[in-house]
Amino acid sequence: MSCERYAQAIEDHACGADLAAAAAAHLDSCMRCAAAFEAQRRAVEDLDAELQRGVAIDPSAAFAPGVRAGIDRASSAGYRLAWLAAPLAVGAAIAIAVLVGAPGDRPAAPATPPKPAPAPASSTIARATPDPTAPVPAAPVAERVATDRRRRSRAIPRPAEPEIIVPPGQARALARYMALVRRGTIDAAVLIQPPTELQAPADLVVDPLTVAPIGAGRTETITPAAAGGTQKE
Amino acid sequence: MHETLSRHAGALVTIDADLEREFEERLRESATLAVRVAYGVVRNHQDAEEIAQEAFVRAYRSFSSLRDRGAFRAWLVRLTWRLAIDRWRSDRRRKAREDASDTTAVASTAEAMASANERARRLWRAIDELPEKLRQAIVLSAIEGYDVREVASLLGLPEGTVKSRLFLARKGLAQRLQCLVNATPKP
Repeated sequence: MSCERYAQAIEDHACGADLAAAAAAHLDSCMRCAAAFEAQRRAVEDLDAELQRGVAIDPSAAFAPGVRAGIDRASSAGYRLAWLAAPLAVGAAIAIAVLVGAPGDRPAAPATPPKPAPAPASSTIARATPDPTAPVPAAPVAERVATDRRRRSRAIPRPAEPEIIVPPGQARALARYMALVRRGTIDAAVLIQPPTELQAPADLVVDPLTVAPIGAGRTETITPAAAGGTQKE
Repeated sequence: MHETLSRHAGALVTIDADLEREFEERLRESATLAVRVAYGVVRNHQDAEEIAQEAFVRAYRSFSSLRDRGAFRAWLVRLTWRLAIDRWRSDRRRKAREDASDTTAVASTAEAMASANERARRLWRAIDELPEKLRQAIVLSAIEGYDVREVASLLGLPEGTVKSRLFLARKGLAQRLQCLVNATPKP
């Protein structure tokens, strides 16, 4: 009965597993299990030896020269790649130059405008300074109107560094104003010129109140001074 | 060797004289290990040498970071094993295709196998059926004389892990080969 209980542990031990104390004690005391374990251990050893013999080969004399030849081939391939890389790089540079164009032939392409940031709760605008580099269109009126509409239909330009935070309505008005200034429709200097001389209001002159008599032929005049409660008859 | 290697100084693969000397030393001391690792998988001497040579060529490219002897051996063993497994798998697929299409090849293969050592054939077939981790552990252990510490160093694993894998591999082989069945006592 105990032989069956420990059979698996003993077999595992033959394959290299550790043996529990109880199983070891049984193995020491049971001749039959000890013999079985010895047979198993020999079987595993034979297996190991067979495997060890199976891989016991040595490299041939041609092995090291083969490695050197492989390194040579790899280096030569590296050379070929290096020689191929130079004309490829030159060709790529020429292609890029042709596509972009020579620097002096035409003005440099404007940089791609940055993607507008997500709209905040209140719109933001930059300092209301006219852009001196903005081109003034010299197009016909119809074209200008069309351009105007397109500009109006666009989103309100939002600068990268907001300086003034205004409500959306004012932002739209200011943007429209800036557009007019850029086009030269209005002169921004007009708004910042001091106002013309103001006229002081004239003194208030109150004419005496004339009340027509209820009865005929009698007129009664009430002056402001007498309006305090004195009434002349 | 120096002359051969120096001829390509300035190329993508460049190694100075000290590195060349060290590489020569590693080649001498690790060639057997690499060939045996490859042979443990593909079991063809010529294929094993080709695989080991390829591993050394790749090692040469990265040798500046593999100057430490232990690191080099571990790296070489893992690379050789990977190359050999790839070759073995592609050969197995090719052989399966050939077996399916050519019946005469089956007959000739059967004759050749009949003349070979039957026990060794069964053993290697059982090894091929093991999971790759167990297979690697048992083959490397056989190469290294079943030195668990050395195998653990080569695989970069704790000794306990190697010991456990070695046990499972032996157990799997014993079950496949049924070499323990007759030895089990019958109460």
